[in-house]
Order: sequence, then C-alpha cells, then structure tokens
Amino acid sequence: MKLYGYVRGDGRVGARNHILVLPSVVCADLAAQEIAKDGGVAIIHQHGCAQVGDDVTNTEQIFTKLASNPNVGAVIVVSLGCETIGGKKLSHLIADVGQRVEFVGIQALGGTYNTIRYGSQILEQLKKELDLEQRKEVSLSSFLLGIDGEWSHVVEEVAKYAEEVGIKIIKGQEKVGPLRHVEVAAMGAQVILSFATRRNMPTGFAVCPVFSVTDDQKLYDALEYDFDMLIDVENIEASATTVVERLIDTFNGFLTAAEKRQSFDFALPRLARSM
Amino acid sequence: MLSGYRRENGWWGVRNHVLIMPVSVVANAAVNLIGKEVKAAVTVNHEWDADPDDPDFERIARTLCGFASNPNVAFSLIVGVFEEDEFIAERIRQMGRETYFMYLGKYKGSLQLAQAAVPLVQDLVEKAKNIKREAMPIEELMVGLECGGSDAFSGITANPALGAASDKLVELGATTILAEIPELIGAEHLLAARAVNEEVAKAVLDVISRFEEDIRRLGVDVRGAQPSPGNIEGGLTTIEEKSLGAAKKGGSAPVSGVVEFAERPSAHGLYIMDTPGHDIEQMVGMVAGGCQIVCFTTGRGTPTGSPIAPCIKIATNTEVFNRMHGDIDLNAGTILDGEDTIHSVGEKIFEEIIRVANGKPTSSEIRGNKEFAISRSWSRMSSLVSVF
Repeated sequence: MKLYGYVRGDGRVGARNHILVLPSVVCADLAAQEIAKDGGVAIIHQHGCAQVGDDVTNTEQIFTKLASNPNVGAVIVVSLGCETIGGKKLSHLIADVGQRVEFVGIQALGGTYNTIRYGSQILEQLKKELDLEQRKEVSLSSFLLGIDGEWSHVVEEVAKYAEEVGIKIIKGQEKVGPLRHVEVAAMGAQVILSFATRRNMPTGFAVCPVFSVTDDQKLYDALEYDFDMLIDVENIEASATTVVERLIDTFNGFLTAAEKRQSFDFALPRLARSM
Repeated sequence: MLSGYRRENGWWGVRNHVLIMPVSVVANAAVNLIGKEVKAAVTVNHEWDADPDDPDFERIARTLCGFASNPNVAFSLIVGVFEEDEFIAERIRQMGRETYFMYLGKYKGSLQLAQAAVPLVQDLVEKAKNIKREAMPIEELMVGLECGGSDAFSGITANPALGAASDKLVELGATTILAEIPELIGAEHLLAARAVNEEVAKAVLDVISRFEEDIRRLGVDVRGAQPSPGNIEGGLTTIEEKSLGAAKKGGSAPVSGVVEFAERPSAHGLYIMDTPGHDIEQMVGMVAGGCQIVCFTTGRGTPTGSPIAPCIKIATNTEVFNRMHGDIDLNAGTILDGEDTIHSVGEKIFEEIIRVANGKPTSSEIRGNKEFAISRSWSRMSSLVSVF
C-alpha cells in the first residue's frame, strides 16, 4: 500500500491538485463557475452577504480553512465588492495561512465579462504551473482521513484498520447534508469516507473526493451507481480492508462516483437567518 | 401591447422555460447532468437536504413549489431521491400546473436518471415551443421591486423612478411586490399610512416589527449586513436612511396587502412580501410568489438575475452604469445629470418592462445569471460553532 500525493510547502500532502475558484458571495457565483470551467473547481454557494454576528467570522473561517485544505494547490477568490464577507479581506486571510491566492473583483474590474476574462487568464497561468507538479511517494501517515455520518460498528472497524496501517483519522459531528463534508474538509482531510443513511444519500464536494458507502443493502440498491461500495456486514473485517485499500486508491487519484458525476455540493452552518 | 403565454390554470407567463429542479441537494448532480445535455432547459441547484424535521420545511417546500409553478415555466421536471419526494410535484399539480417527477431510486443513480430524463426534457422543450404568445391583459403582470448594492443615490434616482413605474402598473391594474423587510425598518409608518384598511396597516407594522424583533433577539449589530460595507462606502450611514430610500421603490400607491415569503398575492395592487434583504433570497421569494419580472436598482453594480424571470437592472448613477456595462439595463443616473426627471425615467422603466415582457432579453438573461437560494427563517444554535 503506497501513497502518492502533492507535497505542499508546509509538509502536508494533497490527494488532488485543485485550483479552487471561491466566490466570496452568491452574486459572484456565475463568474466563479465560468472561470473554473477549464480546469478549476468552484464552490457554488448562496452565502456571503446580509449575514450578522458569528455567521460572518464563521463563514470567513470556513472559507479560509477550505481554501487551505492540502488538496488545493491555488485559490482564486471572486468577489463582487459590496458584500458582507469582503472578498479582499478573505483573500488576505487565505494568504496569511500560507496558501497561494489570487483575487478578482467584479465591481473593481467593471463587470462580469471583464472578471471572467481576467479570472480565466489567471486560472490558465496557475494551471500551467500546477501541471508541472508531480505526485511523490509519501508515508501513509500523511493521509488524514475524514469520516462523516453515523458512528457505527462498521465505521469503528474501518477506522481501526486504517489506523493500524498508519492513516490518521478525524471524525465530524455533522450528520446532515453537505455540511458533513464541509466540516471534515475544513479540518484538513484529503479524502472523506461518508456513511449514508436514508436522509443522507451520497453527495460529493468540490475540495475533497467523497467515498460513499453503506451497510444497508436496501439503500445501496436504491442508488447503487452513486455509491462507491456496499459494506458486507457478514464479513466486516474483509470489508474494512477493502474500504481502506480503495480509500488509498482514491487518494492516489482514482475518481470516486461523486467526482465522476460531478456532484460538488456545498452548505454552510448558518447560525442566523439572512438579514 | 403586452404579450405572454397563457397557462393551463389561467396564469400568464412572459417566458416559456422548461425548468429542472431538485427536491433535495442529493439530486443536484442529476439535474446538472440533464442540463448539460439539454441546453434549452434551465436548471437550479440548492443546498436543502429535505429533512422532515427541518423547522423551515414548510417555508422551503412552498418556495420550491412556488418557483416551479411560476407561469414563466411552461413545464417542470422535479427530481427527487425516493418515491415519496413526489410531494413537491403533487403540490405543483394542485396549483394547476403541469409537472413531471423522476427519482434517483428508480434508476439507481444520477447518470442513469439523467440518461432517461434527456428524451423527456427534449420533448418538453419541443412541446413548449408550440405554445404561442397571445395578447396578455396587463392586470396579469406581477413585477418584483428590488434594490441591491444600494448607494446614497438609490433613494433619490432609481428607487423613486421605479416607484413611479410601480404606481403606473398598479393604476393599470397590475401587481407589484415590495420586499426586503429589514430595508423597510424606519419607513414602516409611511407604508402603514398607505394601507387600504386598518387590518393591512397592522399587518405592515407587524411584519416589520417581527423582523426587528428577530434581530434584537440575536443580540447582534446588524451593521455590516444592513447596511452592507458597500452600502456604507456608497454613502449610506444607517439602516433607517437605507430604508427611506428603499421604500421609494413602492411609489405612492396604496398598500393592498402583506404576504409571507414565497406566498402569492390573492388580488392586484402593491403588496409587501416578508423577505430578507439578501438579494437572491428575496428574488427567489418574489418569483416563487408569482412575479414574472423583477426590477432591480443598483448603485454599486450587481450582476445577479433569476433562472426563470427576466431581471431589469437600473443604475442609480451614470458612473456605475458605464463602468458595469453589460450588467445593467437602464440608467437612472441621468436624473442627477439633469437630463431626466424621476417621472421620465419612471416612464422608461415602464416601457422597458413591457418590452422585456414581450421578449427582449435583459443583461442577466444574456449572460446566464441564474442564482438561487434557500431562505430560512430560524436561528439555529449549532455545535459547529466550537468546531470551526
């Protein structure tokens, strides 16, 4: 079991080498999506303005942490200019944690057209640079596996086996919707192992590959092709071994079902309604 | 003359879209896969997980149903995860609109559902083409009045000019909707005084004080959100000042009633809808409430639009109109420049509404802006505060 990844300046290792195009506000979604079209990944969201109190700092922190996930090689922040979550400030926060970041602002550049044109040029340049980087063999201890969903016997077995081979594990507390991926991705996980329930069927996330499994045959049958694996409850030990092997494959570049269908869904843990 | 598409339930649309909408976040990917194959259809994505225990369940379900049943939509395809997700499509049918439903469980995956959906959606696009425009009574027009990225000029140029256009629409029997409740705080007495009766006057005061109470309960400073950093940079100092300018979009017509978020007004005239000031949440609310067109004034320059309703952008000053060319449709800055009056720009806005209703594409339609948001009403205490 060998692990290959993109070694970052701070020693952390990426399982992907994404250029993250991050709108600081919903109003910049279209520009971000267009800029990301040729070789970037965008987080399309509905937040960034008319927020108050802790929501403001939480949003800034989550965006900053996602932008500094080791899977991200570089970031382009796309701002409108009048929003609550200031795009310029966000790009400074991201730069402060040592991530490479570029900034484009729609109002500053005089409109959507200019922003897309300028942002796409930046993306092309970044892509040229990132394409030169190669995966290198790294130790399994560089692997921080994020586990979300319900903590069951099956999860314990997988976690136990993963730790035995040297993989580090973080576990999220969020159980519902895209929040559960966002939470562990913000903690720096490179790959997410997600356990589905009826109310939490498989979704993906732009920053991290999400490997979706279940031990519920009925759920698996319902959405077989959107899952990555069915856990065999009769033979949990063997299943745990297979899951860990496939998680390593995923880290090394194999695409998950969610990556293949381009399921890149996002939500923010909001404390208060929009103003 | 005004033209539009007469729908099977008697509502009138000014666009003829085929809409593909997910019931929950899990179906977003399938919706996008269909949209990629059938470019003529419009798609929306959202972050709702359709949790039955969600305290906002009814509000969000009403939003999705209202949006897909908007008369600018000829046909919709609703995509769910399980069979029981058909409740959204059922409600749309109860509103007298034609809709189709598919769920992932039947096809065992997003790609597989998308493959099966493509021929259906292609058929719907063809079927929609056969619906022809007819002469549309202006009483059937419902126009949303919105401002976003406001500045110190909003309240003296674009907003009062939009108010003049709203007055004309109301006079002709059409409906307009004034929303963004936090941006009416400080102007409630002026609006209540214009209510058609005491009951409506009380409803106006109640809906605004309810929002104010929510803010007070949160115990936070609303500045930074209302007014936003861009508003402040643009010369607005307080929410009351912003509100007095924002309320001008409603002109001087009597206030006919107050509706909840995404609720359709039951009669004609000027209505107030309970929405936040968040530009996208409020636009989704107004369109879900039946608006076929939204007029959106902006001082700082905002490019957003709706996936299904044309959005007419009106600049409050000539500088932003020229700088953001391609994002803004009309310039009310000519009032400041001395070339126009509030009345003459109001006329121009009215004429543009008719032209756009008749098919002229707006800037945001040309560029493909289709922002969408789920609007929540609750305040949640989350364990995540300590995690992040």
